[in-house]
Amino acid sequence: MARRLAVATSVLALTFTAACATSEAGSDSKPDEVVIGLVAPSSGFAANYGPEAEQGFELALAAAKEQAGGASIKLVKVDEDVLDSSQTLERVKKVVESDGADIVVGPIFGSNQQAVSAYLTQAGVPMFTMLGGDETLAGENSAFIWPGADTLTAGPLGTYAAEELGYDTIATLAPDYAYGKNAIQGATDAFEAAGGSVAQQQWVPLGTTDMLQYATALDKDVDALVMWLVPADAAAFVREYRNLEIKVPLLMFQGVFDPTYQEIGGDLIGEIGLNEYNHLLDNDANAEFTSAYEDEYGDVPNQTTAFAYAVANIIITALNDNDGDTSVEALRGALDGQELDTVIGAASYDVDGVAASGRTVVKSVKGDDGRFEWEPVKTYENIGH
Amino acid sequence: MQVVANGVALGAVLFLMGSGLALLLGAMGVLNLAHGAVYMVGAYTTWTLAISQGWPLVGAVLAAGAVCAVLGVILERLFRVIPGRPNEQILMSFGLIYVLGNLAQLVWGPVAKSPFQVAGLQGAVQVGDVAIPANRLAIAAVGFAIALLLWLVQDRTRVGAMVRAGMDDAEMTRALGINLDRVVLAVFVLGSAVAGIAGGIGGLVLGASTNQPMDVLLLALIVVVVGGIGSVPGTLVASLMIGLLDAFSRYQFPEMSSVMLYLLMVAVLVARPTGLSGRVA
Repeated sequence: MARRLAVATSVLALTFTAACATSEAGSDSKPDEVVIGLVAPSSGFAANYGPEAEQGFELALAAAKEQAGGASIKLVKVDEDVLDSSQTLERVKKVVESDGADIVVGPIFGSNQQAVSAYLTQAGVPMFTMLGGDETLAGENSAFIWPGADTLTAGPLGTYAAEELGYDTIATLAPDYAYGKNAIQGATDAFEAAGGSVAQQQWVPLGTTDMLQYATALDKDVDALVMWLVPADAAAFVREYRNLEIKVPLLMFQGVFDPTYQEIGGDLIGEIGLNEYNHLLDNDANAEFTSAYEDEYGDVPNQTTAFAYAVANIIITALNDNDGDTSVEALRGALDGQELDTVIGAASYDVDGVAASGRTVVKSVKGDDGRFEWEPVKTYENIGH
Repeated sequence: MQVVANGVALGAVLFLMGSGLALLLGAMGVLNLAHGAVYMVGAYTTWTLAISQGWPLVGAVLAAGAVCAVLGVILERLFRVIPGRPNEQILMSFGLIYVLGNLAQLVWGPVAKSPFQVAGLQGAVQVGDVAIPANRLAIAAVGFAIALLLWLVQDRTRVGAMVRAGMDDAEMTRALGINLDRVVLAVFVLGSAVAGIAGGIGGLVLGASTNQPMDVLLLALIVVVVGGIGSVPGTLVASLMIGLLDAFSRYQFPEMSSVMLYLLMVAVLVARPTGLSGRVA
């Protein structure tokens, strides 16, 4: 009896093992469904990012009939906690382990990208950033950085200041954390490479509520102030700047996004900025996107929506090219060197998963309809890696 | 001199943030952590009336004060549900931060409103090499006017005497036939109205945002701890000290500036645990 029981147990074990092996082998075949976790904040002070990213992603999925590489695409939304990276990590673990996410898009904030990168790399899950990222998250890690590495993305602002505007000295102003320092480094490196010099750098600590000190402490002898601040802080700084009647020209990385820009645009007329995305960019992909967005939402899209749309299309393109294989290696292979038509024109990823794309120098103007716009002036191609 | 001017201007903003909290804490002995949220309601109300609807700033700020006074009545009623249980009251007021913050986000959206731009308060007054933005002068004027008003009410009126008596010995005050509950309600309304006015006039440089409940609370707490509980002159001196220290440190030691306020708070707590005014709650 005992021998029969042992034999039966062995047969069951073998059957189970064979079933598992079949199941493993089955994972190499075409998947029926690809689950994408979209990680962006939908609560707290940055709650606008989540809904904006969803709009862009859903527009792209709708255009692709929610299919890619022969599989249907399922989108799972995850609320990014902008103040507590450990919470974001737990939510990302849940979307991977419980919801079965094959690809993660986001998070938006650098601290959260750093917090989830090691886990996603270990789990073999690709992480597509939408609004920049540190290039160390790519390469041996699983990230794909869009639209380019943080340390290079603002480079054209420095180049334009030196070569087109003829400036010799600049001051800088940015937040005292990684993204601010990386972005400004890109601009100053390019400016110094073109022969200019940096006379003053001011870093605004996190939690600063009053910008007056930074406006009054500015070295007024420089040719321009290169700055990047989040829109609310940029607006507060610009208001102080104008009240103090400081005449030093501003060179604003990213300018100021809507809706804040529409509130303070009158204080920025004629100032120069550098956009990663601009809804006025003249290319087919952007025309298609802005038209679809206007039809759906009756407004002009912002950068978060545009880049969510762009990244969704990039993922769809890669999945179509490799029959729905969502592994980091397969996606890197599909995207490496491929010229992509995106909302900001031609773009590509390198073998490490870092994108290069266009940056557009812009000028602040007021349109005939009373709307403030960042009007494209000059585009620099292939920036980011 | 520019640094001193910047510091005094910031000090006026800080006084407006902290004075309502100091008053409430002194009169009730309860920490209303929702104070920053009341400030935020004042800021958004002023934005709605002055910027969106085109009201004169003075009318919008006074209306914000009135809205927040009504909010103060509601808050006082909520606090009265759990009397004499400070831990529960603190938890409740902390929860109110999230309730009011999310309601504000629902009504006004998640994107912060820019500093309010009002005709007549643009540009700067130049004194030698020192430039002081006109909106800062307006804030300082309102701040010092409120300081004077609160000081007069607290130190020179019968109601103020009742408040001070309640702060020192609530039981004895009640035993003397004073309706301390009504006094507490009046102080709650006054403190909330001041917070609303602070949010409205502070919006000239800080705008309105759903971050403010926590940001303002933190700064207000530092002001109250340094200045001492329930003391208008202490709150004013603490605000100016903190403003000057912040401006000076950002100018001289920018890398250290974000911790200087906390170092000052620690130093004051070590040297004078009851704060600069020396009163005990």
